[in-house]
Amino acid sequence: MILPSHYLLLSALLFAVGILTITARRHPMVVLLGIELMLQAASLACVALASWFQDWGGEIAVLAVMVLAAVQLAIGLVAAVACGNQQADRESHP
Amino acid sequence: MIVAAPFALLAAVALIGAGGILMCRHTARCGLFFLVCCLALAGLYGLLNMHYIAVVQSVTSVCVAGLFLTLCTSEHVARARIPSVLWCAAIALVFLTLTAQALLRGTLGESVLRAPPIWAVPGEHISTLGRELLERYTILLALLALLLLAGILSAAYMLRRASRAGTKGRKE
Repeated sequence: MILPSHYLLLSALLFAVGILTITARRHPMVVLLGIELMLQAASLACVALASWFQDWGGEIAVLAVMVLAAVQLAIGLVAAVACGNQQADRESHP
Repeated sequence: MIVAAPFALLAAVALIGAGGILMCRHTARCGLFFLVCCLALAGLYGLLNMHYIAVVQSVTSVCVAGLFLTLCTSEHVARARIPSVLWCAAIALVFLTLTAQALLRGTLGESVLRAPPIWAVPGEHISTLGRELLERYTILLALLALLLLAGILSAAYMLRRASRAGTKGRKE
């Protein structure tokens, strides 16, 4: 029998890996993935609790988090690529 | 036991994907590990009977990983390696979709081909969710739509500006 505590434990583990990714890696794109991983971990906790309490609010909160995560990643990735291009230009034309 | 085995499998896949993001030094492969982790989480949502969220999670993660890989491959990976990265992504997608199909059925031993497709979300679930969104969470829905629109427009603007700056730099 799988209880919500199992899902919450998995969520905590994923969140911890996300924090480790942010602190250990320096590449901006990988840092963005770490942030995304933390958001996914929060979503998993929300879904597990929403399923346990039979509440629609958790599912809607997860939808909101997904939209936020997609927007954050889209803008972040474009910003990271733009910064990389500018840095490459500066290195080629000092 | 029947419920515990799929949970353990999907949780292990999610943790392996998360560990891959942390450990892998290649940026594009980090994106593939992220895709694996997200699809495993989608399977877990399916196990919790949150079918709609599972489908949205699958579609979103594939799109996000596609965007990530496109930006990574155009910047850092040599042209010869692009097909291999895309093939890896396609294989991971097919494998995990089939696994999720099998697991959503509830038993691991049943034939994958006989299992219902992952997108077969119960109609009542979606209609109830839609009613809740339109009746109780209207302002949240409008704000999310505005945020999504603003995000798409600003990302397109930034990309256009960056590509213009790159063209100018090449001309100079």
